[in-house]
Amino acid sequence: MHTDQPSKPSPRSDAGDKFTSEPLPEKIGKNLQQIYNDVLDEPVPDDFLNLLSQADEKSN
Amino acid sequence: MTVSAPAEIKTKPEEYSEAEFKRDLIELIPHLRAFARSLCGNATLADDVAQDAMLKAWKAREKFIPGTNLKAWTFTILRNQFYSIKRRSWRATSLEPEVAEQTIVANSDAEQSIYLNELRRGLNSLKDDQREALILVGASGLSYEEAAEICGCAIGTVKSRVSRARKSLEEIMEAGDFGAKADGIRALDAMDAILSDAENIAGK
Repeated sequence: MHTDQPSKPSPRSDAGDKFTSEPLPEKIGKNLQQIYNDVLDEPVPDDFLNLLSQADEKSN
Repeated sequence: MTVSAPAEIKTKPEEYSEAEFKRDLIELIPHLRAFARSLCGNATLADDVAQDAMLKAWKAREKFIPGTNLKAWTFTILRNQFYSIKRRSWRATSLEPEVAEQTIVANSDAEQSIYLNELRRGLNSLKDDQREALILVGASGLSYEEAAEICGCAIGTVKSRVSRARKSLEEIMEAGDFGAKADGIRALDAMDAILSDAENIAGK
């Protein structure tokens, strides 16, 4: 169930410990971070803090 | 409001009060939302998952070991939450379309927006284990080791999942027909249906 792609040996798969140490798909990597960071930059909906405060009060 | 939570929140083993835990948990909310969004692909649902995870983390706060990585700890909770909801099978239902118009937000560059949406669809078409590995290591700033801990697997497994995920994404992005066609979303739904059928069959 794991590989549905031709299994070429991938010389880069074990090289380096950083995602960014792999040069080829730099654009994908950069934009992947962008997708994640876009959410980080969104204001947190009030629900979150309200729910946490409620839970906090309940536990006291 | 603080948007930029530090990648790792340092905690002193001793004297880590409930108030500090709460403060750190609040700082991690944007990360919980971002991780949930990438797992779910659907913003509304993702926030539900992130809220559940936040509350679970709060309730379990006494089980957190001060000095260890709170981000990884909360991500583990979130991930478990995601899969337990998923097992009740909502993903195969028609939640995908929202992805398309999800965030054209802050990007003034239209081409970039289109690319990002294509990439989102590409992400959504990956297998869960590959997608989560790629996001954890490639976007959320966690190490392979932390990702392995969160996913409950070996570091080598994370590495190979990330590598496979990247390869699939490269192929998808090179093919470039995601998003360009009006039926791109429908094709994704069909793919999901096929995948979930395959899972059902495999699960028997």
